Amino acid sequence: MTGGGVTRLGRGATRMVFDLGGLTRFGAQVADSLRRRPLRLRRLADEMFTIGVLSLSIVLLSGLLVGLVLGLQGHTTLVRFGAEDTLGAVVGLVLIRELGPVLTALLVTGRAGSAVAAEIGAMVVTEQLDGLRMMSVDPIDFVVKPKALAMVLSMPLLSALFIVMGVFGGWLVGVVFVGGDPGLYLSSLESAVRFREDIGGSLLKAFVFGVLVALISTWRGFTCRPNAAGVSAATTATVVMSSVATLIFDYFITALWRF
Amino acid sequence: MEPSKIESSSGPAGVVSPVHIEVEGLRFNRGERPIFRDVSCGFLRDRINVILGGSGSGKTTLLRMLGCLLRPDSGAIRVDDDLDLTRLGSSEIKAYRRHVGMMFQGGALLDSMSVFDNAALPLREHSPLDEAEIAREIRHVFDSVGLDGVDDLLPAELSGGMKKRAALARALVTAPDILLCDEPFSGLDPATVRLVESLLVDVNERLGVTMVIASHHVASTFRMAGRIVLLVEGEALSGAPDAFRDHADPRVEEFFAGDLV
Amino acid sequence: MAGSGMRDLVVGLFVLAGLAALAYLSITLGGVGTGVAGGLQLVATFDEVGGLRARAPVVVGGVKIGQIETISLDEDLRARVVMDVSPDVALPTDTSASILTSGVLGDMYIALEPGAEEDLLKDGDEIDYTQSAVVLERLIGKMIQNLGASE
Repeated sequence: MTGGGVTRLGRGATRMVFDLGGLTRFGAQVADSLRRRPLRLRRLADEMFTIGVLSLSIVLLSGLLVGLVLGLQGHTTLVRFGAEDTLGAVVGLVLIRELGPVLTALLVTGRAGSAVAAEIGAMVVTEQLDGLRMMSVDPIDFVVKPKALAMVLSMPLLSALFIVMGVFGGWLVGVVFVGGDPGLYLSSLESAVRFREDIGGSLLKAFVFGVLVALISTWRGFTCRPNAAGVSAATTATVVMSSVATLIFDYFITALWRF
Repeated sequence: MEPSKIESSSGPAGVVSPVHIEVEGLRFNRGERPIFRDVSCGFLRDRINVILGGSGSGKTTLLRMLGCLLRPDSGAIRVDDDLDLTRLGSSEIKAYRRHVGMMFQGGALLDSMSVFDNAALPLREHSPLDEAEIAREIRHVFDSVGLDGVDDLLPAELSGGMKKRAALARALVTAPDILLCDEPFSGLDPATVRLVESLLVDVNERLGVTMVIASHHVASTFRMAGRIVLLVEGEALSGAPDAFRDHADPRVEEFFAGDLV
Repeated sequence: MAGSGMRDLVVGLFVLAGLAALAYLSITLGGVGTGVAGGLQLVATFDEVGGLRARAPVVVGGVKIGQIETISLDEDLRARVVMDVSPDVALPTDTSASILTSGVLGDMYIALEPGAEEDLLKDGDEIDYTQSAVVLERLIGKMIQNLGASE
């Protein structure tokens, strides 16, 4: 049955190319709407709440826990080389360059991206999008744009908060728990961080991941098959696709931004 | 066989009222499965037209085509003798929809907005009215469909009958020429069916709007329809209710299966 | 409408908190804009700065009082280091500067050792007494040489 396997592989690859094309076209429609139509600030504020604010608790908690673990792992390793004074730099750089934007993107995908896909999918099922079309209201302008924009705006903010919580978690371990030098923790971090390469790159990543998760989740919901199975498939596909896309783009941004 | 009154193909129908929407030779496949093989029928101006058919016969599909939500594979849908819906560009579709209201099966009200905001949406989007004028307009429409004290409720908090009324109200606020109703009686108890039915008849008489209703509810259809379009096996049979009462076509017989009084 | 107003407030707080976090990362950690507000600029020249980099800390007695602005070569091909330190710290004119390493493999920094003069260093002054960085490889190289010579 090798033929079946090859056929499936081919079908999967074709599917992927189609998806990529569909996503790109959808992104162009959203961008076009962004360019041509005024923002709906009321809807944007509401979506900032459901996407940004409601993701806050999990992002802050995860940031703190990741910081604690990094502090512990970093300390036990650095102490072997007598370099425990650089703990702040180690924890901070790892968070700023990689874990902050990447983990935030993955968390937001799970918390808000899946919810966005499910919500838009449910609107497809209950004909709410068709209802908008019949009222000559563009669903991309009315539904998709505020959600996507709120996601893109929230991601860098959430990522920054994640990093600050993580640095705080590392500080808790390195300074409070094991009694390190409080000044050295921060000063080692301050002297190690460079603005353009580290902070700029971190922001760029958070922004790009925000765009990816926003487009994938809204597109999956928008193109959802109009039944319950379709909604669940759209939700799953959003999480899988967003996570993989985040990690792929993470590699390329890291490589091209010259960390 | 007495096919004189039931028309199974296109033709100069409607001697009394002129035909508002003329459907000609629609073909449509969903995947491999043919939905419409050759559907031709006409919908009468300012009357209640009911599309009947078993489940899967394409009632909703035809209705969606009338709303430009779906395009047939071939065929023509002419409105007012000149506008062919199957050939419209996106801006022409928008212009056409300004004159069309649609009441969806589940209501299709936006569930994040209150009932009032839902009904106000088309006015806020497209009319130059200010908030006070919009509120007056909504009040008026809500009164005419019997909606009271539900302004601030979310659609999820409405009962089935109320939801249908709210959907009807939203479809009516823009004062459309054509009103499309998808299964307005589905999921309602018999008393509420009567209520919604009389509401539709009332709206039709007062506003003189061309209604196209997709329904499987035979009894109400024969009470209110000015014209019935029966979808069977990918084709359409249309005529006045009386023509269906004196049916002779075995396909009609099969569909009603003795339901006719 | 009350619910919506509350929501707006929470969204506003969220955006403010996020921006504050971004500002902290950019300004305190990233060093954007520090050293502009009334910082005291001091210059020191070294033969060898080793792995010293811009933004490395400047300390007195282990307490950070500023950071390195720029490192460049002067006309005599010596390394010219411009530091930005807090003007609140009174440093005598005979203060000396040494480049040290935190730990064996740690980052390099400049330690200032205050002298005994009455006069204080002013903005743009040069520190005359400097001690260059100790480069580990050279030190080890010298040691091996000396060991070889003594045999």
